[in-house]
Amino acid sequence: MLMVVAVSFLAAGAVLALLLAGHPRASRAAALFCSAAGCLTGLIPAFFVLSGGELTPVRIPWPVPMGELSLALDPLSAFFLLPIFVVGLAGGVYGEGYLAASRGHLPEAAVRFFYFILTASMAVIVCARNAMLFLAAWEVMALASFFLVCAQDRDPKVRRAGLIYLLCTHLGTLCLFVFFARMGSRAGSMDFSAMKAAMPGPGPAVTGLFALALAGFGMKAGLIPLHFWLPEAHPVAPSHASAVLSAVVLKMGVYGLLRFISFCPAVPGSWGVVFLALGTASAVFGVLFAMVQHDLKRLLAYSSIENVGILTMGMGLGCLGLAHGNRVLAAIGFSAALLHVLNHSLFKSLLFLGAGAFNQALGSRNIEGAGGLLRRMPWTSLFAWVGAAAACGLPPFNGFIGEWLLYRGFLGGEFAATTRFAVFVAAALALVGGLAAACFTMAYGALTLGEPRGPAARDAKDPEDVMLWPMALLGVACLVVGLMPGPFARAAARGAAVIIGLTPNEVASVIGGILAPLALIGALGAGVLGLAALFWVLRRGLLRDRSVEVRPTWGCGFSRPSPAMQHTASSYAQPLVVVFQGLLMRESSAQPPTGYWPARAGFHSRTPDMVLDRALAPASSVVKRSLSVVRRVQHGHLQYYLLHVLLFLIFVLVWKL
Amino acid sequence: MTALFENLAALLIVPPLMPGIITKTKAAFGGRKGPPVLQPYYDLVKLMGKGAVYSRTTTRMFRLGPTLSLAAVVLAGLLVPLVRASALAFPGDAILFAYLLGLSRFATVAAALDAGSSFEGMGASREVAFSSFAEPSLMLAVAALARATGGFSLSGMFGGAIASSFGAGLVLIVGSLFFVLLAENSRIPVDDPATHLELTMIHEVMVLDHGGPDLAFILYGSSMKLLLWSSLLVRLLLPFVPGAEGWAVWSLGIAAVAVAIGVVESSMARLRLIRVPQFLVAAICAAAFAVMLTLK
Repeated sequence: MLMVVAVSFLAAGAVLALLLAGHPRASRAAALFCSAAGCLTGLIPAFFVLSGGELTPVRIPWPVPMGELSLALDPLSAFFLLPIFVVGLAGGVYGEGYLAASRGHLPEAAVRFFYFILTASMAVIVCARNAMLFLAAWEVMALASFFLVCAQDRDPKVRRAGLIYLLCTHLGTLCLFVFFARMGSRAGSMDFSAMKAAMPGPGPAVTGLFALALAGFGMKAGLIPLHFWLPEAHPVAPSHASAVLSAVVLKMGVYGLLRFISFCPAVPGSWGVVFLALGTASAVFGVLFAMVQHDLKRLLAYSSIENVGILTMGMGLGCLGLAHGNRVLAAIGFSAALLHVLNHSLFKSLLFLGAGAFNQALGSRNIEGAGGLLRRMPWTSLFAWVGAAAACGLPPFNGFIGEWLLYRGFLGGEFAATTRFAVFVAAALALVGGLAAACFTMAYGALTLGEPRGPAARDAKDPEDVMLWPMALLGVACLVVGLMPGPFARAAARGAAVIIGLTPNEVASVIGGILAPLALIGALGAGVLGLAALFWVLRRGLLRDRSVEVRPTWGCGFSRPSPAMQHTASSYAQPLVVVFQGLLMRESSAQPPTGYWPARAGFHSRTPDMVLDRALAPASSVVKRSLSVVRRVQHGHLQYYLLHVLLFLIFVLVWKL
Repeated sequence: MTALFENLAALLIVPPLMPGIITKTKAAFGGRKGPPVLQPYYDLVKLMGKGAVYSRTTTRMFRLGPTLSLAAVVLAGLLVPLVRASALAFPGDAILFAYLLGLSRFATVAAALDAGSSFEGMGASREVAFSSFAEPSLMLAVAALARATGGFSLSGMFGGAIASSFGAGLVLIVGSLFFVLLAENSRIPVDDPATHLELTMIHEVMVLDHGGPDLAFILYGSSMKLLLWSSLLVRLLLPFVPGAEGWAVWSLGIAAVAVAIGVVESSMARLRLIRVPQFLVAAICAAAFAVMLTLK
């Protein structure tokens, strides 16, 4: 019931955003209130269910054929509500500061309206127990995201990104329509429980459904090769909307896949292999392409593909466990996937909010012109540091926890008979971890460390408090999950129990021993922070009465360093780009300095996306060219159209004679 | 409890000995007398007593680097079996060990970039590039050992009873881990710790601007890291030595690893930077073959 109240608060926020459109202060207050009230109310039932409580489902008649407003909350739904409402709250509050700072550039009322609608629709998606309701909410989510992506629609690049996004999301929805129609016709009802009961055993019918689910939900989740809309669409949205798009909306695709697996009475091992392959490809390509971006938000979008890949590896591990009847491994795989859903949403939204603050300060999304922001934007830089460390999967932050559980499943000797060759996926995961560290130290270093490379970076300042607090909230959340991982992992295990078909008590006994060391991991993480603090104090004590001088950076005796001499982000990534050039296919053009007194020199590089720019764009131009014959008769001259009609009539008359 | 204190003593006191032995070995190969084996201890004491010079560009990130980096290495050291099996061992601690070393590297790299120097940026860039190739071989070696021993803690896998049928696999793993040890601890043929040309350095160039107690933390931390990796190697080979555990055997083993590193450094040149990834991919392949030997 509280869920309905929460969604109503969000819907009220959307309506108020439109009603109060002309009154900036009133609409700001209303939006802040509705975000806070809606999201905090929504978190109560989520925590209640995750701690073992049960809620009665809500069923209200709905005058739509086969439709019913059927809502229920099981641990799987509840676990997905955590990122929806936590990120929704952080983004909603941050958005008020963001809109105020970019007044005149963004349609405020529309952004507020669609932001609320987006959050509410996702809450409905994870609670829906009727396919018609699910699809309706899914479409509302897709359209609300589209309007957020197109918020700055005066820019042709934004319109192009929006169009690509709209095409892709509808292609995915089309697959889902077929998917649910086939399941519904088999069950004779659009109710989820009837669909689950009528789900056939292994065979071509289920394989077909799996392929449809993979296409429909995989498109939303951004799995390679269906990812190509994501690096276009996510960067152009307002930053708080990008945060929700990248951190939560992608996870709706993951939710759909997990819900589908929970329907299946038997999961073939080949699904596990498919998930592992797609997950590995997404993780490796995602992080490689992230590393070569100059646009901060595009980099983060590619990194989201990487993280969706990581949690898809977890799903693959879970499916392998299910297929081989290894319940421990199944529980590990799905719990790891769910944990990473939560963890990625926390640190990625934090990074996107930080990126929004950096972008507004710099007036550009390009990281190459920044530098030295740690001195000028200390708070934003601090929170971004937490987000970057968490994104690299480093303890004591939350990113480590899900990856640890994943490695535990892949490498554990006791699962060797089930994992077999899947162990090599763990090597890919290790490579991805190393590359992510390279990617995020590059971006963080280029933005916040060293000397400013341009005038915008020299005058940058921290944003107003209403933008800093949400980042602080998310940063603290990253640390809390990292230092106290036990309860969160157990909640994820309850969610995984729904997928595997176990009761919460059974899953606790199945995976309890595996999760036990998490308490020690949290304690050791706290130990790192404590020991670092101790060394810091020791260092301060040692230096107290000694000479501490401040001099220029050592430049091999060169005493007039300039900011332009610093290592840039591109040169930082260079050693890895050279190794992976076969996969990245980066294009670069250089104008080397010539003569004794070189005046001009330049270097430019870009890395086109392998699917959108290398496969789809050429393919669509081929289609366009082959259809140009037809276009010759479609030129817009009315008199020729009349002539065509006349000629056709004559042709018909002659033919009839 | 005594095992914990013995390990703690080994972790905190022994590390600077290793660079001392390596330097002595290299000196012997070069026909020189070389500095005393205890020289690194004197250096540390001297550095701890000095003041500091900071670059104008740097912020707190630069000062945080050495402290956070050393803290992460010490915590990682608590998980590693040294003289005795680790008192904190748990299934999956190998992952935490690898990622704590990752945290240490993250802190060092961030500090290096904070100085805003092109040299330090270059070193940081090489460090992260090469370490991302080192990580998979460690994970694969761990996978092979986990399957061969049935355990999943560092103490269980390194120094547990490894099935004698795993002979060939063991050779591959020891080889792979030794490669990774050389790379992770910036030794020849990946990096030359004794070089004096900034352009060719990797790890040393990242800490160019550190001095005084900060530099002491860094040197102490990197020797500790070397000790941890060496101890893993020693523990892997220990079951084949009669009279397995104990200070005498362990110290001899550590000294032997140090001498082996010294011999490698005296007998070969540094690889060209472009060749380093190939060197590390060889380590990955060796570990991958070891994993394949465990597949049934």
